[in-house]
Amino acid sequence: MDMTHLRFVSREASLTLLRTTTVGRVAVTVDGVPHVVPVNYRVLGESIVFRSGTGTKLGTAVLGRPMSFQVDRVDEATGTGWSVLVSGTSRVVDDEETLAAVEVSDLRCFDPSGKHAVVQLDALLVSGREIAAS
Amino acid sequence: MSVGRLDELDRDECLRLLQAQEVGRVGLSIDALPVVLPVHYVVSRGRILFRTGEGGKLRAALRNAVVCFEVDEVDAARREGWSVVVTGTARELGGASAAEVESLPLEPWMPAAGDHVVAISVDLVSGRRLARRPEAAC
Repeated sequence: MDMTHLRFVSREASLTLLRTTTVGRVAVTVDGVPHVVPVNYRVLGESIVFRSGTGTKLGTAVLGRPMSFQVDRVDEATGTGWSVLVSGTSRVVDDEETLAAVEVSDLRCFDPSGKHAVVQLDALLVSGREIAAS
Repeated sequence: MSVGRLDELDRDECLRLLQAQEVGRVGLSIDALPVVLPVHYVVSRGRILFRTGEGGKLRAALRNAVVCFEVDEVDAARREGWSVVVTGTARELGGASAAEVESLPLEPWMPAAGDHVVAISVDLVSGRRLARRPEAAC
């Protein structure tokens, strides 16, 4: 009865998919427990950048711990869609060049209050899956 | 300039939003790396249920791992939306519990996703809503 099939998406194609939207989800592990939070993001080269206030995301970046980032697009009506997962190490951005590029990209934070740092996640591992119509 | 504010949602509102969606994301740790995977799900008797095949999600369930489950609806252009995160224990449903699932509208997101049913207990619940406000504060 399946009218769809699963197909793996290459790294290049996955990075292209990431550039088609601006809202994704950051996943961090705190004390062994995974936590997922939506963020506005931009793709800079082969990295993901987003703004973050004090909290689990920023804490993970400060410590340089592994972080993942996920974006998907699902069409309920047709049962088709795609999902891309990026994993790598994260850091707080402090170099002027990257900060200037982020400024130009009009990246904003969901949380309008307080000060926000820019976090950069290098796309070390990229995996993409697509459910396409058969 | 930012427009809007972030409000915490109470548990009842979170559960209402959780029950109104069909696709959510399971967050789990695989080899110490956080991973997020989309699934079709239903909420039944205080648990989040989804189908899965052999893989990370099933392995998490078999070791009764603490996982999180996230649903959201965000309109980036309008800067409106909400997200709900549930943290709970994953376990595989078998026997009579698995039979109960047959009567629920639970489709696997992936074609041939497999016959295993995983339940996440709704233990910790948190949610936030980004609402517009007429005047920007900064």
